[in-house]
Amino acid sequence: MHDGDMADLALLIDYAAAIEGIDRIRYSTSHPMAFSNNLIEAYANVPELATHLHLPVQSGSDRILAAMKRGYTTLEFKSKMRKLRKVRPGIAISTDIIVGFPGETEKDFEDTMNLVHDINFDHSYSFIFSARPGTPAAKLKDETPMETKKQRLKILQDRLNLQAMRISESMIGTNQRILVDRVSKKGADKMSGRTENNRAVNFVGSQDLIGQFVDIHIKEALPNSLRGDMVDLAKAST
Amino acid sequence: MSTTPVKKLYIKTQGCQMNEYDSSQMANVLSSSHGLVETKDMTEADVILINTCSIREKAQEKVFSDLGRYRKLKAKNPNLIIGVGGCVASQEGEAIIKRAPYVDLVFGPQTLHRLPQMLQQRDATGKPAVDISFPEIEKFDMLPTPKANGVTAFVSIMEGCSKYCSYCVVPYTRGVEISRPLMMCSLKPWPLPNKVCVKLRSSARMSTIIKGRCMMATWQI
Repeated sequence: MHDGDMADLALLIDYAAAIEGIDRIRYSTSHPMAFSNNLIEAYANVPELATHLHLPVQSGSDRILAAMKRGYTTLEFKSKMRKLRKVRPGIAISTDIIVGFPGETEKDFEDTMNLVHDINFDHSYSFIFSARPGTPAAKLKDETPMETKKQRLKILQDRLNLQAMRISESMIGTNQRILVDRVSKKGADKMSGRTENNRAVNFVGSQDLIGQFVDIHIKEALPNSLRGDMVDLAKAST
Repeated sequence: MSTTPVKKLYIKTQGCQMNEYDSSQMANVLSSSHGLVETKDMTEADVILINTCSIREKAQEKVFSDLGRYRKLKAKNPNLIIGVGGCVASQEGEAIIKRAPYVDLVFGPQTLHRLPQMLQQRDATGKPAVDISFPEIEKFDMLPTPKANGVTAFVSIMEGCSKYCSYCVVPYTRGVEISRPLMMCSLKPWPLPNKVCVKLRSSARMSTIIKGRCMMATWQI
């Protein structure tokens, strides 16, 4: 590279991963338009890059995406996610979704639900549209009753929670590499760390594990965390 | 010899991860300049900052109810400094002082590194200091070297957004997209602990291009 050249996020991830002591890399927050082939390649080539992507899609309706000026269609989004999963099978993908954008019909909402299902989004963030003064969307006609918007949000969030729970449950019985980051809130003899897909795991362990990667055999999935045993301990007890 | 008691800083953070990062930078700059120490107890604070969010209406309304609470503290301690930062500050500017005249500082996400000077200005003039400008890359240049917090470290790689999604207020409150020179994203000089999860943080919603005044010599990798 030369002075004045442009570097992209994929290159920065490459550089960061090469530094000793940096063993896990996350980034937030990209935009589907900026989710490039170079970034997908980084998932293929850089093991330090966490097997988790947060990529806000906002809607699964092409009509609404156009009104939002997002610059992509659901087909383009799905195609990028397919490429990503090809190089990182099993990657957890989370997102942000707005319901009740002005003019959102029942059909538009169904399209969003279908995308949520198709991508199998993990734990995600969803909100009811809030008109912000000075933005173009604040001037759009919005005839959907708030009651309907609240119902849609509830349906969406129930679905997202269900999917997240199923992903957690599918981890039971597997070994997960976690980065231990703190003493658990569940008790002083327990430690807590994060899996690649950003779930908190509580396990019995000592404080000198903080800052270390350990492998945990997952035994239980709770709504906001997992429980398990250190793999070495599990071997010793059998 | 008299000892000056340690002055305390209380920061209330609303909203997103960018705000959380910005709040830690506010604490950093005021610790360097004024020796302010963070407290979780607002009643013992000498300086209260509220880092606001305007992404939805609800958060924005909360700013003024919180300010009402700080006003009561100021009635008991007239020397208390109250500052409003973040995206509501960026959007409303002077209007915040009009509605809440007991506020001393109004600053935006792109001027938080100027807090020390604004505090001095407030002290010298006795009048509220307002700066919600967008001085571009200056913020990156002025911030103290970030410290790893536990086993993770955040590296800010860009600020703002130029996508202008039709519903989104971010380009107006945080400014247009500005990438940090690649050289400044260098992780080498950081006091990193043993094992680290680095979180590359971009403001707003975009993050793939980092403009590089790339100098390979600084990388040594």
